[in-house]
Amino acid sequence: MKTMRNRILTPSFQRHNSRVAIRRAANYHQELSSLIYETLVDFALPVKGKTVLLKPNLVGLDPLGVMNTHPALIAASRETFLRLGALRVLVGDGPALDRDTEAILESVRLREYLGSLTDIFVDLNTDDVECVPLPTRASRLKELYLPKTVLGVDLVVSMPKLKTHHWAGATLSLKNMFGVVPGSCYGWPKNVLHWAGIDRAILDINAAVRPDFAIVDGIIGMEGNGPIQGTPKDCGILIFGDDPVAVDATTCRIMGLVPEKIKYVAAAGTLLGHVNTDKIQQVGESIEAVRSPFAVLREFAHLLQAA
Amino acid sequence: MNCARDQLLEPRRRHGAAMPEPAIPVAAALLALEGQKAEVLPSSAEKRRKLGEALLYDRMCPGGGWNCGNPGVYGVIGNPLVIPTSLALLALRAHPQRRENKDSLAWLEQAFSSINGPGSFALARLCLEAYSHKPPAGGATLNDYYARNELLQSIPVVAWMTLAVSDSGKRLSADSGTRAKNQ
Repeated sequence: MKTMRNRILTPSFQRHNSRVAIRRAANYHQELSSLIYETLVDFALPVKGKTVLLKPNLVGLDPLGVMNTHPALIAASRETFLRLGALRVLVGDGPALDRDTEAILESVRLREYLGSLTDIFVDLNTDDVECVPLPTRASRLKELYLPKTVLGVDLVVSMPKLKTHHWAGATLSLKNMFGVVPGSCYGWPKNVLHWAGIDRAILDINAAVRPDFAIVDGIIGMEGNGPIQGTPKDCGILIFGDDPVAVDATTCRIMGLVPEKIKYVAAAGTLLGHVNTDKIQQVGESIEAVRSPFAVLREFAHLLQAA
Repeated sequence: MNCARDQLLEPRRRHGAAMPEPAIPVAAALLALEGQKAEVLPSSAEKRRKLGEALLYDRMCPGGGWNCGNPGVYGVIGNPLVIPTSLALLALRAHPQRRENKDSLAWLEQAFSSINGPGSFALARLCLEAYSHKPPAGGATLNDYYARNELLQSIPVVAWMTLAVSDSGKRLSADSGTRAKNQ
């Protein structure tokens, strides 16, 4: 499989404006495919004949469906990319905590939505890997072993769950890319990367992988002690964007957090995308219309926007 | 945050970010060590084996079972997982009478009926058989798991499945009796 993700990094100040769409979606039972299709058509993504990897956030056993990206959204997104002409749409993740990836998939009922996962799902924890020199030196890591599937696809779509995070403040489309780093090389729960500095490692991973698009599952999010033991938060939104940094910045604002105060989002805003609202073209709902402040741990109270 | 739980945990256990992830590597190392004859091992092997066992007990989740090796993060107790619990119990099966083993075994038996992944199922079955406990009847079979997603073509899962269907658990059970007598 050829490596296709060695794209040149363009500093944020030289980048075109980013585009973020906020759409309301009351629940997972509604017709999500149409909503996603209408939204993605506007982005005119170059997916025809291409291979797309959807990277949901699959953290652990989650029978209540509040910890992981919901399978209905994954299935609807997959259907939409195929409808847009993608040749192949894979779904892949490397869960950080539990080695039994299939148990997580069964717990989130992904097979019920996608059918047999044999030819669709890639366990990124155990995929073949390739050593990739890092284009950035945010952490002390100089290289990363990355799954060949991630390196070989044409388009990577980060699909996080809208959640707080007890180490990083919030876990959104940038933090979600921790899941592409293989457990077979970095262990469970990938503490090598945590030791390298979680904020810095997030930057290095995203600079190496460069996710092309983000779809945030904000229909039900998680507040408080996320990303595992927090409290469900009904938000009823989906956030889409062609710049994961802008998507995360927008999502933080919806959560009542100041994105510039979240270290990795602020730093990503200098190199990987836009944080500044002047550089983000907002479509769909306005941030104000859907703002829903999240409860955070005491340690992250400084991230909250003033009331 | 749970303050009562916070007080239960030693300070060094509160911050998962600074902790290693020892449960499975240590358990695997102990299992590998036990497969070796004493004459081929260095003199320090026994000391290190005891250290490994002590470390596993230290990182057990309060109430029984293991996860990656973080019994608590920021004062909140972590939940045990089937695979690390099974491997740790297999590595510690020379001490079946210890309270930690009994608690963890009880957790695993209780969790068995809700297992829905082939890797967890195979290892839990091996572990229960190694402790001479009959895995609870009913539920999915190994064939059912294969039919679902062909085990996602995972080599470790295929290996665990193979062990689980080959009476390895019973052989481990016999081994553990011998090991317990020798200690």
